[in-house]
Amino acid sequence: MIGQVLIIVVIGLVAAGLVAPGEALMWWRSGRLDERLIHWPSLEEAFGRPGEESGDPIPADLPAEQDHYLVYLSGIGISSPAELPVIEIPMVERLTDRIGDTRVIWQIYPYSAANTALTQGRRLSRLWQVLARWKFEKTRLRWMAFLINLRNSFQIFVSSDRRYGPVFNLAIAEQIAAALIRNGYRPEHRHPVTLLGWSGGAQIAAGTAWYLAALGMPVRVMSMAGIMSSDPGLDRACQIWHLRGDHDKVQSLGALFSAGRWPIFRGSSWNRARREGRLRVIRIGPLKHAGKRGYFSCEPILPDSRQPCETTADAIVGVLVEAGLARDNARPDNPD
Amino acid sequence: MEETARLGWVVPVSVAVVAGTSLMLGQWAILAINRVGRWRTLLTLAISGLGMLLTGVIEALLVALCGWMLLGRSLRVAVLLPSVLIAFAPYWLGFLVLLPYSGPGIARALKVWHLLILWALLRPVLDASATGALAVAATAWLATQVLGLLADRPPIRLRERVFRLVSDSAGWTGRDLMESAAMGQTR
Repeated sequence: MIGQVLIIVVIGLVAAGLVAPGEALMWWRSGRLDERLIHWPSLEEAFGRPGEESGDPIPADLPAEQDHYLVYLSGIGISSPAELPVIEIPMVERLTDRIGDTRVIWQIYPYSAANTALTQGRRLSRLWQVLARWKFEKTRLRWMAFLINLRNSFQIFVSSDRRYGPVFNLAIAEQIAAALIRNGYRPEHRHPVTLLGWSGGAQIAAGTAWYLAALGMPVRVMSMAGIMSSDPGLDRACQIWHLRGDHDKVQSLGALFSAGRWPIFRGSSWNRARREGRLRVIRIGPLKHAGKRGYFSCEPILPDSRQPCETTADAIVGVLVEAGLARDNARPDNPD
Repeated sequence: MEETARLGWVVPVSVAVVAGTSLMLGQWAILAINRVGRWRTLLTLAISGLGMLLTGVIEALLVALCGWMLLGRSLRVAVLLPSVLIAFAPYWLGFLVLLPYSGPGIARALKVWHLLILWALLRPVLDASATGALAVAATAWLATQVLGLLADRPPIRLRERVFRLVSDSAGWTGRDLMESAAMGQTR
């Protein structure tokens, strides 16, 4: 019985893996051959929606331009660009309030090349809708909502694969460029952009950095407990910060399974960035990847009398302030 | 008798053709990146199957050569070819190379699996000891890999040229996509 279940699980995983690159490759095939590979979108394109859907109306006034843009790329629990996982919302709100001179952008679904929510406009969207609902319901089948995480984690593999990654990361980079334009970014001013990737989002941040840098913006990558490979995109990031908790074993998976992060491969993008001083690994305290004492949790209070989520926010803001990219609105000695 | 001999070739040839097609299916990314149309895709898959046959013939030639050099046995290629072609059976799983991230590792594992089967099948054909058959199989296999690598390098770029011709495409890879995104372009 256990053997049969195991076989079914393996077949299911293989099938899921085989279809995983499909969305990115179909997105690429649908484009025109003579199109330029990456370009700043026009306002119409930036406010457009994927597929046949009509785009959002272009507002008369775009948000005011900021000196720095922080693009938050969510973890594998996300299922739509319009909605962050519940656990991540307070953190993003906290960062939005706290980081001065910066616009925080989060409306991106980093696991879909077409920026299509799992719950809309897909053949299996009804299934994903049910699974997304079960995440918050007390049902015996709640565990099946894990399939959303599984589906998204396969997209991390797609992003880090040398064959599919260039296509997938290009698609997400275009989405990020569109989101920046929607938020008042002026390409000619080349204000700095920091990609903050939480967990699997860090791999997407690393992958897209290649193309975003090609657009002329100074890109920085901040991995918050990121599970990431030694992506070539790191070569084009001005700075890379990898924030990690002392008790976080999940983020170590990236270092374990990505050969490019092993010290013996000195020429890899990760090791080169480290040698050049562009990459810093920052330990932020006794935090775990998820659950109690996780990066987003409010309990237990840590020995330094801060909440775990406060520690995380302090670390993110601290790094940005130290790099001269932003102000900390919560600091009493703030010059403004 | 002639009919039996003819049918005897059907299995090894089919094994190799299906193996080549499956392996190409595993490299579907390159077809998608080059936006190869439906008919050209089918043609490319078919040619890949035939390409595997050609690889088999070359490997059989190398096995004959190694058998003669290492064991002093002189065997006709036609005798060795069925075993070599059947040893391509693991490549039926070549479509698994499509799996993201683990695909290239699977491709390498299939190569080694092919070598192990080649070794097992060559033992009775060469009438050699396990060590002798392994020496012949491994040397021929290694030589085939080296030849393949050399043929893929400039200025020959055999596989790339054939792919371009058959698929009627530029033969772009993911690396080409990345390199085309030069630094600092704006519009």
